[in-house]
Amino acid sequence: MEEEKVQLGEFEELVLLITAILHENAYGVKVLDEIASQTGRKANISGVHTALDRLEKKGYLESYLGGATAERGGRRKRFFKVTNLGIQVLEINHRVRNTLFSQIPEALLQNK
Amino acid sequence: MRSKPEPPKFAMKLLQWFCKPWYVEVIEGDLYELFDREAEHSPNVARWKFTWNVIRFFRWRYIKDLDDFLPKSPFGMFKTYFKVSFRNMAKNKVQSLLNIMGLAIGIACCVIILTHVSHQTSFDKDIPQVEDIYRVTINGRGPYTPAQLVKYMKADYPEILNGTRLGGLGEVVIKQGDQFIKQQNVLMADSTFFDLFPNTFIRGEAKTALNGPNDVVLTESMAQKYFPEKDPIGETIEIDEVKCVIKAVVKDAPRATTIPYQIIQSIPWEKWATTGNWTGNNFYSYFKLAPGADPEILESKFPSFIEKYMGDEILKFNPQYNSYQEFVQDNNQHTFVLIPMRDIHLHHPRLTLGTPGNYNNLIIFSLVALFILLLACINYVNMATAKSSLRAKEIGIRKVLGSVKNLIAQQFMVESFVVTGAAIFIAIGLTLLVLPYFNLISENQYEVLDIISLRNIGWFFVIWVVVGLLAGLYPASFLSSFKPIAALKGESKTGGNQRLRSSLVVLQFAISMFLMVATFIVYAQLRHMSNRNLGLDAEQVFILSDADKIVSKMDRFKSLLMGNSNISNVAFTSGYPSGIIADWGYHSTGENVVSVDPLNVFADPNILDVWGLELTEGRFFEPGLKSDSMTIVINEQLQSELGWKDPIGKTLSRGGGQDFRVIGVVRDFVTRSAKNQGSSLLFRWSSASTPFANHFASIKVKGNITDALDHIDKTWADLLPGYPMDGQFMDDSFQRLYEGEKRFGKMFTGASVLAIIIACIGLFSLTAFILERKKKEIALRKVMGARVDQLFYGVSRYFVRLVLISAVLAIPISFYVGDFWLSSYVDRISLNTMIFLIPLLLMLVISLITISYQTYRSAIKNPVDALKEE
Repeated sequence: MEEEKVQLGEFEELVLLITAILHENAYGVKVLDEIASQTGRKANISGVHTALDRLEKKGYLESYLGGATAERGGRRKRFFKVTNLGIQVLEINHRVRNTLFSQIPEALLQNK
Repeated sequence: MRSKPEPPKFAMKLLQWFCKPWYVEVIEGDLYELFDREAEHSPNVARWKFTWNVIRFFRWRYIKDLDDFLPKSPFGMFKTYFKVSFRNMAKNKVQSLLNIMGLAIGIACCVIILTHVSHQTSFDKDIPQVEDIYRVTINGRGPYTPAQLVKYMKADYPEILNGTRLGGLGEVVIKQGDQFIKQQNVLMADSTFFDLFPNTFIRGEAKTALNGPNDVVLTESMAQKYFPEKDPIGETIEIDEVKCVIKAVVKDAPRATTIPYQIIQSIPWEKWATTGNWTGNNFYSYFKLAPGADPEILESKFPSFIEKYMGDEILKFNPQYNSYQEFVQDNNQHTFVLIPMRDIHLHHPRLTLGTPGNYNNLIIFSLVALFILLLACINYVNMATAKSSLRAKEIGIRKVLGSVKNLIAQQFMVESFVVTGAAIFIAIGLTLLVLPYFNLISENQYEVLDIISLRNIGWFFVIWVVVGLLAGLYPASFLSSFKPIAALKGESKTGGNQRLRSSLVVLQFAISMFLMVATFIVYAQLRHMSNRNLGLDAEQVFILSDADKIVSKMDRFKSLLMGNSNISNVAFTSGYPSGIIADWGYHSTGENVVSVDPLNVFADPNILDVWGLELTEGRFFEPGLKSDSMTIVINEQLQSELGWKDPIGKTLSRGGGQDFRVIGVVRDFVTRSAKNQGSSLLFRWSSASTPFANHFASIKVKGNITDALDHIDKTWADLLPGYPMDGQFMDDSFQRLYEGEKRFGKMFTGASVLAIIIACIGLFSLTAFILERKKKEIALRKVMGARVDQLFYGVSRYFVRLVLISAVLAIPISFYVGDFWLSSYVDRISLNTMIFLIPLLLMLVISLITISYQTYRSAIKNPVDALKEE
């Protein structure tokens, strides 16, 4: 995976990170809640679904259906899991950010 | 305990209705969860939020597509057909582009011609009950009829419901303030005009519009032109120095009409109806018959009508007959024939008051457009089958996986329809792009809305289906019949029937060659007509119209003009060569009376010098010799028609004691277009006071033309202040006779250029294909030591042979058709070898250029690249 091949929107990256944090326990509402609790950002459920679907199509996530429970009107959950490719992408992004951040002159950071 | 709140049912239904089934469960589950959480605080807010979230899911990604609505239809299969089509097109971008462009050019041609044809065939069709309206002609040809015809026929025959006489369309001079304005398209009409040809009245009404002797009806645009600010009703307008009253304003005449009037002037009805004689034909007569009345039965009654009203006058001009019966028995055709109004524009161009249509040209151009479309279809077929080796594996795999022949055929039909569809869209764009040029060449005013009209959209669909089928059927049936094993082994490299493809290319080149030769013939004939020997000094003669306006100052005008060193002579006449000259009836006297209808030109004595005529016998009129007033000068053709060996001193009579003595003979000169036979002609002596004799002034110009024209302009303005001068050189006027041919030539040039382009596109891609197949052969030859020019020769030999075969096909056909076209000209070129040789050479050069680029490229390639494969 090369750096320039990474195509990730800002919100998509957030969703990908959250999915990775939740580890095998990520589904629509859970991701929505986690975004709210970790960042305070109020997203819409349809936006989360779209982002998840997109990430799956790009190959950064994979999904499977869970078992039916009495909750949710008996509807099954669709769980998402980060793929190896997804992990690579997160690493690349992390590395790029860190490299860039480390080059910011010290003076600028201290004078804020 | 209260029951658990439930989300709103309709929102759930909505979601299930629009959302793809695969997503529904998961989305519903998440929405449920959010709802339950919210409902603990407030069930109502929860319901609202639920609905809102459902609406937020209304996204392209989640909405059902046709697959979900029609899960069992073959739509899914079609979707893959489209997908494969687009992939294939994207794979061979240049080929696909050429393919689509070729088709688009052909279709654009068709669209333009279709628009033209539908306009040309719509003439007069919107007149109510046009099928019952007839035009009276003399023997089916002569457009003018006697003044009293309408009145008496209407009275004598009950099946004639109504009739009207028209005159014009003429050019008048309208005086506004101290300004004189030339106005075209002025119609003279009876008060019954609007009964036959209704129009919408903006002001005034039909009943009272043309009742008085000097009533005028304006069209909307004319009212705007002459009275931009005030209400024109009741205003006076001075037309040709007569004060007329405006009685009504009507809508502009439709574009597709044979009576394109802008102003209508009433005919002083009573005066003409009672005094007009029966042998003077000055009016157009239109009748409206009772519905279902048979025009042939009516026509059969006309001979008795003619005898009853016109017999005496006819005898007066033909004194060699003792009775009307005798006149008829001697095969003198003179009867009235009814021509249906709706046939006038295309089938009787002599009868129209507007721009005449041309039925043959319409047919020719429709055929040419079809030919061009056919060329484009052939290209498609050629390319689709040529590419077959590239598709062989795909077809093989499909067959192995269980696809049957029909399904594979469907794939190729879909491809052809996709390409045709794309071509149609490009064609519409192309059409709009070239429309201004087409308008310029064909002198039409088609607009965007004429192209994208409802009717044309129907035609687009028809073209799509027909071209799609035509182009797709053969490739589909050919490609789908591949044997899967052979295809997968790579054995079906024949690439289709080579002979068929070659013969299609031959056909393309034959059609292009035919069009090219036709263009050459048209232009050669045009040049011949422009350069022919007129027997006149046409380049030096300036013809001034409206000369009768200064006839009272004729001598002063002449001497003022001749004061300029660039003007050598001036003469007044009633007509001029290339213009309209009336023919008058004369007969010889004494024994063996012969009746003749020579062109009749009133001329003053100077005309011999001004026009540069040659006298072969006797003398011309003597200036100032009053005793010459009853003499005439005839041309050689009239002399031979009369059969006179020694014409000087013989007499021609107009009847009623008007006898004229022949004093001279002039050499024949050209008076009409090359389509017409030379005609007999005589000069009558005239002076300033002779009626009808001084309509035109011929001015002989030499030396500095600009200076001479300035002087004429100034002299005219001095003598007739404010009156516009109108004139032209006689050779220009002759050229104007061939404007139809020039238009025809330009349109043919366009057509043949397009045909050649399409044929070249076909050739280009065929070359690419053949070179691809011969890659190894070329490489091997090169390894064996062949030079580039030898390789080039080897490849181009094949194409040169094709071009030569197509020439063998095209030349006899174009010879035959060209000869037929030329047969309508009296003065015509003969078809020589050059006319066929030059297009053939051009064709060879064009095709060699087309193939040379690719041939050269493959000939200089490193042979290793081709041989190392596999």
